[in-house]
Amino acid sequence: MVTGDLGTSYASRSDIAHEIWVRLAVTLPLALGALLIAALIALPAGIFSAINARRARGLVVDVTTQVGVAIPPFWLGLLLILLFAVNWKVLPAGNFVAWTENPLDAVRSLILPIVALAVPRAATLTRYVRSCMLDVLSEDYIRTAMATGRTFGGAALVHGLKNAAIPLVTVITLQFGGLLVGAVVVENVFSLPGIGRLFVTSVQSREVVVVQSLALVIVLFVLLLNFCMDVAYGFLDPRIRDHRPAGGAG
Amino acid sequence: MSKFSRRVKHMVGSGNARRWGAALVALGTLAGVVTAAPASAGTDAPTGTSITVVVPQEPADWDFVRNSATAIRAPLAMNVVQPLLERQEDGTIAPFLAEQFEASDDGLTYTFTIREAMFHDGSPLDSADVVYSLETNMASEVAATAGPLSVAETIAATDEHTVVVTLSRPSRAFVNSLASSSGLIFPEGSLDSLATAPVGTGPWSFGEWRPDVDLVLHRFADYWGDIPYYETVTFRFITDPNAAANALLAGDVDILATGLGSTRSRVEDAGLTVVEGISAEFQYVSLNGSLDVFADERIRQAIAHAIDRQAYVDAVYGGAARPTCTFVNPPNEAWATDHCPYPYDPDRARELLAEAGAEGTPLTIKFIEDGAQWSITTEILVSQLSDVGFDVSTEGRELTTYLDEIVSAAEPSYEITPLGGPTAIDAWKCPGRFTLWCDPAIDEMLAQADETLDDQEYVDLRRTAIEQHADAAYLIPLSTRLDLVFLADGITGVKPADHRVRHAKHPSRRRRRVGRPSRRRPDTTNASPDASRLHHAGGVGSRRVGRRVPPAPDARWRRRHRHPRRLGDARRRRHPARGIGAQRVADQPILGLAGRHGHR
Repeated sequence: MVTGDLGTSYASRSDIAHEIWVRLAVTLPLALGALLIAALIALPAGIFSAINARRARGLVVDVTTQVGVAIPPFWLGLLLILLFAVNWKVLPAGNFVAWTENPLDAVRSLILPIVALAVPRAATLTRYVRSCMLDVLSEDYIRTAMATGRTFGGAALVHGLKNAAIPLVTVITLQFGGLLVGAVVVENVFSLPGIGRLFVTSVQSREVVVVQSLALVIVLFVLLLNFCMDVAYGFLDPRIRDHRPAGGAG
Repeated sequence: MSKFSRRVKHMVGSGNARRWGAALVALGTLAGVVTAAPASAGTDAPTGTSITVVVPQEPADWDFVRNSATAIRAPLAMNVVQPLLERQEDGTIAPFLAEQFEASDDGLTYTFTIREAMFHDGSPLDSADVVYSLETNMASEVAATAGPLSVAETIAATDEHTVVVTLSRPSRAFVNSLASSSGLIFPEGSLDSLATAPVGTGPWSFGEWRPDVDLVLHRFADYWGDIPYYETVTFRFITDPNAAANALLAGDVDILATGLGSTRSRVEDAGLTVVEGISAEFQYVSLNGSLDVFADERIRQAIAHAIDRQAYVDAVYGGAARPTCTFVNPPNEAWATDHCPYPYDPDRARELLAEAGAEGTPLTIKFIEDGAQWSITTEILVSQLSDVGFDVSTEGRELTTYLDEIVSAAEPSYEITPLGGPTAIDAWKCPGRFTLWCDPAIDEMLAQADETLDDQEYVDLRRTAIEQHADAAYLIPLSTRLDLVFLADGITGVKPADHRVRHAKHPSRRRRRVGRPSRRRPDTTNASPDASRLHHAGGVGSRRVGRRVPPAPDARWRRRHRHPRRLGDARRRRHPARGIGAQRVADQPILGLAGRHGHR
């Protein structure tokens, strides 16, 4: 294992490292794409909702996210398939095409699952963005920024967002780790050969070596993510980069 | 052969592709030998033709000798690896890789003449390969594969294309098995490569296997028969039945091999075709024969009388199954019988319990909790058995635990359990598997049936055995599931799996040298597919090339072969002059577990 050789699977007699690599080629784009879309939806929506926290339009966003949180991804996946694949026939109902075969088809086959995964996550994330922003907006520096002539919204975007970013980065990183294995239900609905499905089938068929290798790979991924997260903290907040202890001699 | 492969075989046999195939045969005849025309086949054969079939299970590997799972055999048998003999639609056994075969009058010596054919690896098929394959199959750990071959005393190659097998006693199971998994032929010494790269003589060669995604087979240009219409066949593994139905409705795939009753209406509402067959899979309730409580036959009979099979079929399969009282498998065998010793009769069940003084007897039902099937079955059993006065409780088990505790256990621990599978009566011979009950008299009858040269006696013996088996009520059959095949728009020509009328002539009685009939094309003027030969070549409809095959023969045929509504109709509708069925011991794919319906 130290040499990087994860061995061969008992049942399929295939190389486990290769197998995991092939699966990652499905799951990584899926997880990254879902998070990206979720973030793209959540940031504007969350900020909008925070800025308009006491108004009707803010409430509309809140209610929508509440609904979004309540939707299970697999159900959304089924609905999407019914609409886009069965009724309109614009996108395939799963049927993953290998990247090497046809990258365009590969992307097409990932669109629906990515959306199915992204929407509930976007909703959760919106709530986080909203509450982080609300915390930040009550800080003194926002008032100061407004005193220098910025509008409330402008101050929120320029000064507030950066300060609210740290908890958001934490949440996003944790979600990414969860998505690697947690996409299994959506992988089943769209019959995508991802990491989550490999995990489940290996557990079912008692393939200890595969499960162990998967656990190893996933732990490595999460460690790597946490490392990136820590580095990102430094970028976002100079106080973290500055490692001199407060009040220290130097 | 596995049911499904037969289906693929059927589906590739009609329409414009057939015309194309016929042209090829003519070409082959001119060239002298069919297989001598690969060059022209290579250029003539339509390219870019492909068909995608959804199968619900994916095997861990493709070693069909060590494992008889349907998941393995469905894509491979007939398509990639082929058997020595072939069971035809009318139930007779015909030559296949053996160009002709002959049985001695005493039924003890079989002489097979092996046809000229090529394996996918380029080596020619000869008698050494056949001897190797038969000996390997004989040593298989799978009882269904090895069992029927065990009567063989010697298997010898007398020349490059002749194999002679001598038997220790006459056996119908032996010759029948050569048309199923026991007769599959692969190159000498290739056992170890079967798991990842099986090689055979079929019209398609094993291509790419992407675990959890699909298996692709490629047209084999040097095939000994007609070159198939489709260049590639893709078997896609989709475990979720709704996902599979969606893929079909979305037009991503062409054929859904194992449709479920629950998705049927969606497929039909969308205007797609559903083809119905009779499944060889049973659902039954097993009582633990080692327990004292079941020693009193009145208690067993009370349980059997308490079960309302129609209610069960409606609840679990949405009607896509047929109630049955006997272990006849498939249900259209010649020995099918109306015999139903314990029909649904709750009052009689209460009487029997009262007679036995056993009201309120506690019973525990152990069931597989994965998936809905057995949970629902168990709920129904609980309500029906409680209704007649048993005190019923349940114990759910996860699948693997269930197998460990009951099916593969040395000492099965349970009281009552519902289960399913393709097991015919022959599987329940002594020691009776996990029922822990068996009747040597029934075994004796089955053994006599296997050996007899008299066709009528064969059928009578088996029928009696099955009726006695049902009388004992240790194994209580519930239903046989219907096979549903869903077809995408434009696909025609797919036939259901098991509509065969059986023909039980013993080979030694047939007294005819049977040679090469399998190359003949179906007579298209006689529209009944029943009478037509099944064929590999040719193609399903023509979605991809824009032409349609008229569905008329299918519709007519389906009407004629509609499923009998009542028990026993299966037998009544058979033409009496047709003769009867051959035993099907070896032809028992282990359905299901991998799937949702069976036990392994």
